[in-house]
Amino acid sequence: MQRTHGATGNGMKNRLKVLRAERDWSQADLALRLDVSRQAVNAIETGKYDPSLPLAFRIGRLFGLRIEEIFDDGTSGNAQA
Amino acid sequence: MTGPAAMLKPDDRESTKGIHNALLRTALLMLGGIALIFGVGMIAGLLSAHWERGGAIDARLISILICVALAMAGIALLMWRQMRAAVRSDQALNPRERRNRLVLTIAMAVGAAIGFMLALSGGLDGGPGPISLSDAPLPPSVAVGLAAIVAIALPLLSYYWHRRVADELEAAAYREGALMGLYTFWVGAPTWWLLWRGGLVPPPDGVVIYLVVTFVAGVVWLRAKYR
Repeated sequence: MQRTHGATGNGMKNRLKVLRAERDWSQADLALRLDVSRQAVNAIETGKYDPSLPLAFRIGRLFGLRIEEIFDDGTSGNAQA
Repeated sequence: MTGPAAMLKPDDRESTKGIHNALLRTALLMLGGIALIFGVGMIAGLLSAHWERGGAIDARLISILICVALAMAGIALLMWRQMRAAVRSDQALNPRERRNRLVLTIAMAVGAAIGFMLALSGGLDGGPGPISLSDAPLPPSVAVGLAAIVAIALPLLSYYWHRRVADELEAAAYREGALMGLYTFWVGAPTWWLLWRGGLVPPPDGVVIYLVVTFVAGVVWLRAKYR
């Protein structure tokens, strides 16, 4: 079943874990900055949950990157898991 | 260590472990609560049966009551220790998670209070039906009090939870659980009703349907949130 954003992930790859590690942030640190739970950060990092567009924009702003530089839907090949 | 594991800070690994611990702790507290309610009901049942028979309080009855009371005290102590551990781990949570924990605690306390009131009023005794779980009559005052708790506390708590607590992962998991619960109801209730009309099963029981729907929604929600 095809799912939309804000739902269970389609395994969309992202660089969240790498970006977080570069800043020496824990999942809890990132969760606090994004105002979500640690579970949400973990689920996004592992591709089990695709963030909504507003959250994706918040993530992009936090890291100073465009959304497609963080998330990869499998067609652009930008992001690495 | 190389690869993604090297990028994980220790508290991330602890976070995953912490989620499992929190789930286990919640399950233990729920089971403990049920056991305590069962214990209260057992004591009330033993005493009322004894008084109905008009028997004097003998050593056998006292020893049974002491055993039940000791078991309940042990369970209460275990629950207290689990709750203290939960409070300690709470200090590492962000504000949203802390509010989530608070709502869960209040919901469990309300549930436990309802359970105790039901147990004390004898409302947990099985009814005459083969499947009915709790259709024994309640005193009107107890029924009105419990209905008011459910009708007022549940919407207020739910409103607060949706507005201030749930993040989008939680909301998505909740929607998934609610959807599966709804389908369980849409499929299960008419199936049972039709089979009953065919004389194959006992009449549909609202309490059983409610519990099954709640269980399915809860399991799907937990799986969606913590998988």
